[in-house]
Amino acid sequence: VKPSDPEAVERSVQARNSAGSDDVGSAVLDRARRGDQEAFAVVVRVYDRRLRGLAYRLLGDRDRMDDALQEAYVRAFRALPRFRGDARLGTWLFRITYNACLDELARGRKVAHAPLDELAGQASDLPEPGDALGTRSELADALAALHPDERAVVLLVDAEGFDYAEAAEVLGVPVGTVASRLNRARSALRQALRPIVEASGA
Amino acid sequence: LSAPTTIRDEVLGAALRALEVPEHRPEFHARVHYLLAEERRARLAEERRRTRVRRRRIAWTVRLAAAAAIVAAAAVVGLPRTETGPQPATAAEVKARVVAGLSSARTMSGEIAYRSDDPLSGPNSEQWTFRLAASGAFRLRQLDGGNDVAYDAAHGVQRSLNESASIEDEPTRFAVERKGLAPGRPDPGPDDWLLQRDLGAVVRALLAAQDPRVRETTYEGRPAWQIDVPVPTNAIYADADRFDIVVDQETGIPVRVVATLDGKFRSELRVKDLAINDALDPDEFTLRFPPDVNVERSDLGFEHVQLDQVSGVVGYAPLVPASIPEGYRLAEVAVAPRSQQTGVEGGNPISRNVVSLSYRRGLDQFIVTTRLRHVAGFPDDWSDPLGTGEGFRDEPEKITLEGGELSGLTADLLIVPRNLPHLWTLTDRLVVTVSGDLSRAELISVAESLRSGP
Repeated sequence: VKPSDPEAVERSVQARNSAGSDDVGSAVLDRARRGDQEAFAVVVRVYDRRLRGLAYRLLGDRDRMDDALQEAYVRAFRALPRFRGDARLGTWLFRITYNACLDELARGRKVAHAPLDELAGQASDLPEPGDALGTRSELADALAALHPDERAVVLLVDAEGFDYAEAAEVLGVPVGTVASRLNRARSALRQALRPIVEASGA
Repeated sequence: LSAPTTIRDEVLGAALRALEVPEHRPEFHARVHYLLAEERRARLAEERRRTRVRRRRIAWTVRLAAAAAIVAAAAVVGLPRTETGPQPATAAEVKARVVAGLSSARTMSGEIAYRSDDPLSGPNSEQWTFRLAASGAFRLRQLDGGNDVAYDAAHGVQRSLNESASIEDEPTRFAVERKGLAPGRPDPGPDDWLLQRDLGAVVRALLAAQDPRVRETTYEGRPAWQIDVPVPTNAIYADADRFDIVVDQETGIPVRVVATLDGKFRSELRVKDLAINDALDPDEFTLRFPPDVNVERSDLGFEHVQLDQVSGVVGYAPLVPASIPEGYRLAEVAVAPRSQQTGVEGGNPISRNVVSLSYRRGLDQFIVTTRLRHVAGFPDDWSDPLGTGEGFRDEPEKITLEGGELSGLTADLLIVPRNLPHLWTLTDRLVVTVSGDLSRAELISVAESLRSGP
């Protein structure tokens, strides 16, 4: 596993998220700010897949994911008139979603992780070195076993391509905390990833 | 120290992205659409309400300042300077007299008549009765209209029946019940600022700032003093630049004020039948709604607790003054996990984990509040929580606090005629305000005595 060139990573992130990280045009954003629901729906469509990823991995349950995202979208709609663009729209939305997930977690229900039967038989975009389905299950289990703070940071940085400063902004912690949480999270997850790593010759 | 360089694990990232993420429940988007529509409806309603309040507030600001000027004038004038009569009171004596009057009163009642000739809204006149008690309870009733407001301090509930003068397509009367009210500003409290809290505060502000000219005159056949008081003009809505005040000499009670702008009449306010410490029927503070009126109910989220319960609710120890001006006592402790945004046009981050400590002395009140400074989803960008906007732009005095929990911090202190005397500052974690019927020295003294409480 090699450190990556940040610019290359940023390009790959932009390409990977074909909907674009900040591809909501200013006209649409202005309309959404003024309370135009249709414009806000465009914002939701652009980010929903990525926000679902974060919420589901943090909450481990589709109903709770939906509850948290429902709350996050309402909060975002409410707060959008005050969004000043100091942060990227994506960073801002991830932060709201992360906080909604924390609130959902704080409601006291036991944190679950994705049931394995939901994963079975589903297609994957990942190149399949060996038993990919089994590896994904192990990875999902390993991810679910992490503390939510560590889960969030590895999802934001490694899966979503945020840099440390942006992740820190989303999580509301210092950049150094991001780095240390990331280190712990990766160590745990790499064990589950070993078959993929070995198969790819890295 | 520089931030660590971002390093990504691309293989891990690819594997994480490959993990399946479920679609939403089938009804998800419809539900979100509904919630957003509700949010939008609430936002529009709030905007309309704010417009209504803003219009009323500007009008009331004129009246408030006029009423304050009346009382200030009465206090400043004190006793007349004549060849044979008593000597005029000094400023210190006047302050002591005003403080003593307000702080020792248990009840106050009377009638206010108001008329104005506003270039925008045209001629207007109103008559109100008022009753207020040291507990904070009050009743305002319009004699020539349908407006009626009552605050039941014992239960923290305000009820009002209002005429919707500014919304033509709505019913002519609407009933509102607000509970969970904070003790007062900067959080949503009862609408008593006209008569009680702000009035006393403005009196002190004017006493500190003004040196009005005094003349002998008569009013309705009685000896009186006439005082001219210049006032700053609203920058958005030019209201008045001078008050001409008449004070009854026998009672020392202000009886009339005329507000002018560039020498032209803008409004007149008369206070009649003023009574101090009359026994008031508790039923005076209860408003019962007619059965055929729809009641709009809201809960502002504040709950009254004991001081030692506060940290259990908000997650931090409250800041409690170790030293308060003589005669004040802790009257209310209110907490809210979440409350409205403060400041000019509600421009501050939403209020989280708010603590409001209310101290009372007669009809005087001051309030110490704390709330979390860092709020998820909002920039760390705070302005004066008691800022009023509305065209009044006041420059605060910067002071450095030298004692207590806030020692070493810079605070903004503001004492102006049209706002509550107050100071506010930011700690690493909290936004702190001290406001109310306090002099500059008392504000600073209270702030410098704040300690982490139980």
